[in-house]
Parts: sequence; C-alpha cells; structure tokens
Amino acid sequence: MTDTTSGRDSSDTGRQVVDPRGPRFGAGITALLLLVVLYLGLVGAVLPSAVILTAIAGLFAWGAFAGIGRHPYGVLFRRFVRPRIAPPREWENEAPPTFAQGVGLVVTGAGLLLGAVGLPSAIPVAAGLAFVAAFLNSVFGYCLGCQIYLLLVRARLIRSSAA
Amino acid sequence: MDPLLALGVLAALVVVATALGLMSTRSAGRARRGSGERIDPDELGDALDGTFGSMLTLLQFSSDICSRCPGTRRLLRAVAAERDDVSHAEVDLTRRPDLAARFHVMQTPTTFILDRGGAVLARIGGSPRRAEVAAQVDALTSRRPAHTHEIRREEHP
Repeated sequence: MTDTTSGRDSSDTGRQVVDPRGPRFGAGITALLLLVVLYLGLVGAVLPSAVILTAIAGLFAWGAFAGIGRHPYGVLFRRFVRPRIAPPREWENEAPPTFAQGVGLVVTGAGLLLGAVGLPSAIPVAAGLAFVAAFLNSVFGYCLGCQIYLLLVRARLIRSSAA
Repeated sequence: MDPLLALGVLAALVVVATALGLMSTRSAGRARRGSGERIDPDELGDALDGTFGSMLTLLQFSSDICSRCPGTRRLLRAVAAERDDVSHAEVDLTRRPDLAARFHVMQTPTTFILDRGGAVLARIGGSPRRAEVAAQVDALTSRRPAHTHEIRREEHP
C-alpha cells in the first residue's frame, strides 16, 4: 500500500519504509550546511552561524517528530533525484533514520543552548560533531544513531515497550 | 580565527571523518575467533526467535533501531536455508539489554557462530559478508578446509 498523502511507501508488514538513498541524500545537504556553520563559527561570525544551525536543528526536529519520510529533503529526493536514478534494491525501515534525526536535534540543540548562555564555542563544536555523523551517514551509509541507540539500551536508558 | 586556518580545520575534519568511515567499512563484517564461551538456549529465553541448529547456529543480535539488521537477517537465513544442520536465530537486545552487556555487544548487527553445544566459535561485528559467512560455516562444519584469513571478497560464484 502507498500513503498517498506523503508519498511514502509501506512494506508488506505495515511498517513505514523509505528508499535508503533518500536519508543519505538529505544527510549530504545537512553535512554541507554544518560545514558552513563550522566555518562561520571558527572565523567569529557567531550570529550567522547560530542562525543557520537553528535552521538545521529545526529540520532535525521536523525529521525526528514527523518521521524521515516527511522530511523536506526527502520530498526533494523523491521529486528531483529518484526519477533520475535506478529503483532501490532494497527498502529501509523508517525508524533508524528517524532516530538519527533525533540524535542530530539533541547535538545541535545542545550547541545552540550552550551558545545562548554565553559559550559561543559550543556552536562550532556541535556543528563539527554533527558533521561527522551526517558525513558518515551520507558517504558511507554508516548509521551512527543505531550504535548510539544500542549504547542507550545498554545503559538502560531505553527499554522495550514490548518487554 | 584566520579564514585560511578555519578552512584548514574544515579540511582536517573531512579527512578524519573519511578515515573513520574507511576504517569502519574495512572492519565491518569480518569474522573473528569466538571466545568459546557457552550459551544455553534457555538463558536467551523468549528473546530468541528461532531454534539452535543441529550443527551450527548463526545467532544474530539486533535492535529496534538498526538499519542493517533486516538485510543481515535475510543473508543469514539464506546461508542457513542452504544447509540442513545450520539454523539462524535472532535476539532483540532492546528486550534483553543484559545480553548486550554479557556478550559485550557494541554494535548491531553482531553475529555469533555457535556450535551444537552453544560454544561461541566465531563472532562477526557489523553487516556480515555472504562469502565470508559461507566460508566460515563450511570450514566449521568441515565441508572445506579452514581459510579464516583468506577471504575472497570480490568473488561472486
């Protein structure tokens, strides 16, 4: 079945799935923007760097709360990129990239918060950390959020609702 | 900071991130010798999806948030399906975080190859490579001599 309102696809198990190249495309845009934030932060342009990082954090929040399938970069991917490339070899569950958006929101949000209370160096640091995660996701398909999730499970900070 | 120095920091960060990515790509899916520790099916309890094989078990540790776990499940099930005495079993660590601590699982998917008595013979962190899993399984069931370190990665039979 297909969710016609969002253009998302559902697997036969009823779980929401995405073309895994969509989140990687989005992570590439995010990585480039984070490099801009880092550069502006390093040269002392605190306000512009904070403004762009706020926009990035807002997009992370969108992906985290609405789901990666409704992320604006996902819409861009489906409209302009996917028609030009081969169909996906496999589909990916939406949960991992959606969780990763939440991790991005926490990291960039912490940087902005610390920057707002008088620690401007937190902004380029947060941008640099988030860049590494977004870059690994985009270029290597590495899901850093998945490993962070397991660490949170091990620390008993996440428990299964089914248990 | 001087703009040129700032660009240098950016370039250094890209290099470090690329190195991290290459390292993880190279190490993922490699089989390592297992600890030999014995796992009793009973201690996995209802976290176990599947049963232990009569000869070998491909025991996969997964979690709710794991992009490579479904593909790993398909790969390991296919390897097990080709062999009568090998089975695939999966444990969701989200339901059993104690097992993640007990077996020092730092990433999902992680796959253990167990013998019929539940002893851990080999351990694979990250997405397994099909040729390597098949070679390990065949070596451990003595269908072929062991070639633990001679993995022909580009081979597609």
